[in-house]
Amino acid sequence: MAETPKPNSLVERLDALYEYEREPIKEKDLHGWKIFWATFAGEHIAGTEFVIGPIFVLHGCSALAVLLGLFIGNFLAVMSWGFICAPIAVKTRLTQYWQIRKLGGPWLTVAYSAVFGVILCVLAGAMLRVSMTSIAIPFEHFFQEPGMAAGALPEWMWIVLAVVVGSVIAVLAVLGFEGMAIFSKMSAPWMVAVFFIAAIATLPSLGCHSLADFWRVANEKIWTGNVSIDTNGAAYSKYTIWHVIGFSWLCNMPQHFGMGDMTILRYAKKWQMGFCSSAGMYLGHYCAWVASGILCAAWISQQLAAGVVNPQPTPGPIAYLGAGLVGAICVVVAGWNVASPTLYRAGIALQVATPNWSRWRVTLVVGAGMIICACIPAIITHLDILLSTNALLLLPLGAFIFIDIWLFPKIGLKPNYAAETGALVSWPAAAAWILPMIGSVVAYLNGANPIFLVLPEWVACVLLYILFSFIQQKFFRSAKTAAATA
Amino acid sequence: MKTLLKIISFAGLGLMFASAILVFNDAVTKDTYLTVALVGTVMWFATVPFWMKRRLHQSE
Repeated sequence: MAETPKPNSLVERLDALYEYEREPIKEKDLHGWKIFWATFAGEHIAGTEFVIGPIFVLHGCSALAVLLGLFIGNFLAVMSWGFICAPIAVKTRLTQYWQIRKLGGPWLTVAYSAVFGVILCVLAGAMLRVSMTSIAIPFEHFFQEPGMAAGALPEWMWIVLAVVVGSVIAVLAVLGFEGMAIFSKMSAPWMVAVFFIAAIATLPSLGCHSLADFWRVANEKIWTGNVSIDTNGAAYSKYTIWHVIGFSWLCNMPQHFGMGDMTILRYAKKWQMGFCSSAGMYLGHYCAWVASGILCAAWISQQLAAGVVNPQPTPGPIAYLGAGLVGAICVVVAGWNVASPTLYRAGIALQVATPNWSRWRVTLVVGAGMIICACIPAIITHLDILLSTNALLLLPLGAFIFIDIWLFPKIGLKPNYAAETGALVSWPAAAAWILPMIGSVVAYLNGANPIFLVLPEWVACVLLYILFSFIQQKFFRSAKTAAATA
Repeated sequence: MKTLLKIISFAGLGLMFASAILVFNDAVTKDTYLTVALVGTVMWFATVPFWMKRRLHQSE
């Protein structure tokens, strides 16, 4: 019996990793509404929800900006899933990886995988840091300051925690990824409940004793419109309703506009199932963000009352204030549930760049990267910037998928041109990916907020991709045909 | 049996909500609420593995 040859080149190894996803999903494997409601509802309740809600409080948003801005931003996100990602996922029944491979060539998928792997590694670091803020609570008593019940942990202690907790997460990602994913599914409804109860039980401490009080307390005590001071003594930048709309829309851009959720939605019987994302958006990115904002405001006022100067909220203590031990466990679970699968996926994405290393070895190396990232406190205090950067890096390739499938046939251009010509890399896709990103970096260095760069970058990518593809397919091909005829 | 376990799971979550609402209305102390929330959590995690489907979407 002939032995199957081992994949040797970089591209062969990457293809081998995603081999089982190469074929479109078959009719018998499609799913109905119920599973998509549950999947989206469970996926968007995570440790980061404890970080993002407080960001709006610290950046001085008003109550109207948060409550209305989140409603609009999440609505736009749901529309993006429903009208952009889902129809293409249902039409192609392929993953984003294979679609990028067809339009951009194998080398572009290698670059995409490497970027994606690094981003996932950093995000896993953020999740680990979230968990650590809860695990640190009992240790705060060992660093008690005079006259206070607890004290801040020194930097070396955070590093110890990162190494210990991160090692456990990395080992779990290697040994029991499936077990962690199942546990994540089981804990999702409970986590939703914890967010709700913590916020409800905390409201009286802010002076809210009935629903009629809520609007007044929201404006006067929670989202006051006043910016807080960061650890360096500088004021946080002021966020308006536009920041809230932009952030809530873009924080999942890689999944909807970026087409990452083609992986899930390719199983959908109907494209309309993309609207099931509303469950995740309004439970996780509306209710949970509002809840964690309430917890953050209550924690800050408690700390100020205790005489703490310039208190800096972190997920563990604010959840502990709202729901005690249950809240602290929720933060750990919320962080671990996402960190472990994220680390596993980062390992898969980066496995291609290693000299035939086994999966466990790659995952452990990526785990070391996660631990280093988790030692940086800014990884959660600037999570909004991190998520915006993530969107800026991954968005363009999703835009190309959309244009390739939806627009190219209508304007006489061929979709999946790299696959048709056998090119290793599609230069229109590569150039239209890199040039707008350089533009975004320049704009960011000149003071632009990344939240407001995402949409312009998407438009620039789309226009450049159409222009370059037109040049490639109409002029270069004509020139080649003419040369061949001569 | 599965139905009974499901009832216990959701009763746990229900207890958590009920205690939070009672704290909001100043009907119970915060300590009572925290204890009930813990009991509700134990009820959920002790029963949910026996009835929730273990299959993952990705592998289905």
